[in-house]
Amino acid sequence: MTDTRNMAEDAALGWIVRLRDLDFDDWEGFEAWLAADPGNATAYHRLADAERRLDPLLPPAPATPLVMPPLPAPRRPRLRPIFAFGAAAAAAVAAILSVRAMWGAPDLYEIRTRPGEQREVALAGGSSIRLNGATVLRLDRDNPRFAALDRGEAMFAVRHDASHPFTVRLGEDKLVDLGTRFDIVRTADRTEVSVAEGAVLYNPNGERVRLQAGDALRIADGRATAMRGRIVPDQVGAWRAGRFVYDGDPLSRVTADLARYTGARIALDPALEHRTFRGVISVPGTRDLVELGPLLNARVRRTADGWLISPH
Amino acid sequence: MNALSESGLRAIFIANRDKLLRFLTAHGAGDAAEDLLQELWIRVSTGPTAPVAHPLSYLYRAANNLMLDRYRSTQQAARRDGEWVETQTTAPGISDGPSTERGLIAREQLRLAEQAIEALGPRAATAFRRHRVDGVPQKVIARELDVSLSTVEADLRKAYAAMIELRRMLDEA
Repeated sequence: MTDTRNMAEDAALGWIVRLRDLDFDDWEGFEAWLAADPGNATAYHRLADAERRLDPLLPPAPATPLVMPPLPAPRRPRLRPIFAFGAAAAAAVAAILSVRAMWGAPDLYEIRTRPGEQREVALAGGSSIRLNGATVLRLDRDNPRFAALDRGEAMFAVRHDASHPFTVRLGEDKLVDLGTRFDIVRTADRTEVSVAEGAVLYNPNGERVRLQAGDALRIADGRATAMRGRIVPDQVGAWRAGRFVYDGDPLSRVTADLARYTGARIALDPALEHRTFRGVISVPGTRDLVELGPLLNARVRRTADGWLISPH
Repeated sequence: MNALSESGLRAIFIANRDKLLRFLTAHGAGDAAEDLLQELWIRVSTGPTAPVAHPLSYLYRAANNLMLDRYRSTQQAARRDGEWVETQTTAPGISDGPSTERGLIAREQLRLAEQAIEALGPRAATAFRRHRVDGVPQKVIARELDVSLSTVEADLRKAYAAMIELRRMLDEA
């Protein structure tokens, strides 16, 4: 009896392993095995359920450098400077672009959120975009399948339509959805795309980087560094529920995320900029940022216009 | 907007209705099989993604996930009926609270998992990391490690068994 159970478990493990390959197609073989004995389905369910809950026990895959040759300079020279500027200058460039857009064919309009303000935008055709705070997004009145994220963060839930792919313009770069939910963060020096579901294609006319659920792409310092990493798909866009998940990220990033989401001014002592943090921050429970102190292992106190995080 | 791909998927769903029903039944759906087939269609037709390459395989996978979700909710219901306090309210392993204690538990669990992987021996540990963490197909792993496909599968079975055992142990702890 024990032997039979172990056989069923061992076979179930084999199916779990094979089913994880994305091109698995022996569904009828799998069905025949399940149908052969009710104990097989029981063993499979128990083991496969536990297997699906392994993620929290595993490290996200280390980011691997991605070969991203710089784009040939003459291609879209007008948009190039946006990467090189600081936040204020980038905003000025964005303003110029908006003006330029009024002359050109696309009828673009801008949606801005203040720091701490979140906003949901529903688009014709069933797609939607959730804007985090301090975000500038441009949409096209004539084309609900286009968005330009100039800065900030937005989570896209895109209804797939193969004949009209949804395109997100990111400065000089472009992202095309292949049916999907994904999050984009854009600051003056960093663009990061995380895919929760489906797939997207980054720069379809250039590098053609395909990102699937669980993939992340980080482009920093102009285009000098491009990294591809793995993330947990469930955690993409967790900020919408006020939850921030970190796995060894620098505190400078943690404070930038919190400032964008809460609208609070948060200053970080330079001594802590490169300290890393691993854990989960839940904002609805920590409007009083002092509570973050023990979690970050730092001193958090109120200042005249916001918060200061400094070493103990 | 999505009419074309959705009607295409519907045609494949209808053409393979019996196959999918048999699959759900083999999973132990019993009398609920017809209802579950309906639920499957609602899921795949309202989800934001549409299959790109292999629609039938996509439907089978969605059916498989449906049955595993059903198993999970039955387990959770059984647990709630017991004296368990549900702490995993959102994503598995991610608690809502920012407590340092939970962070310590999570770190401790990662450490145990790391030990369990190391205990598999270097080849199986590498195969598992490549397969489960990096999402690399078995064929590729076999080439990378210069071993046969059946050796990789045997290593992976052993590794998954160990990790699943750890997951169950931590669930009960």
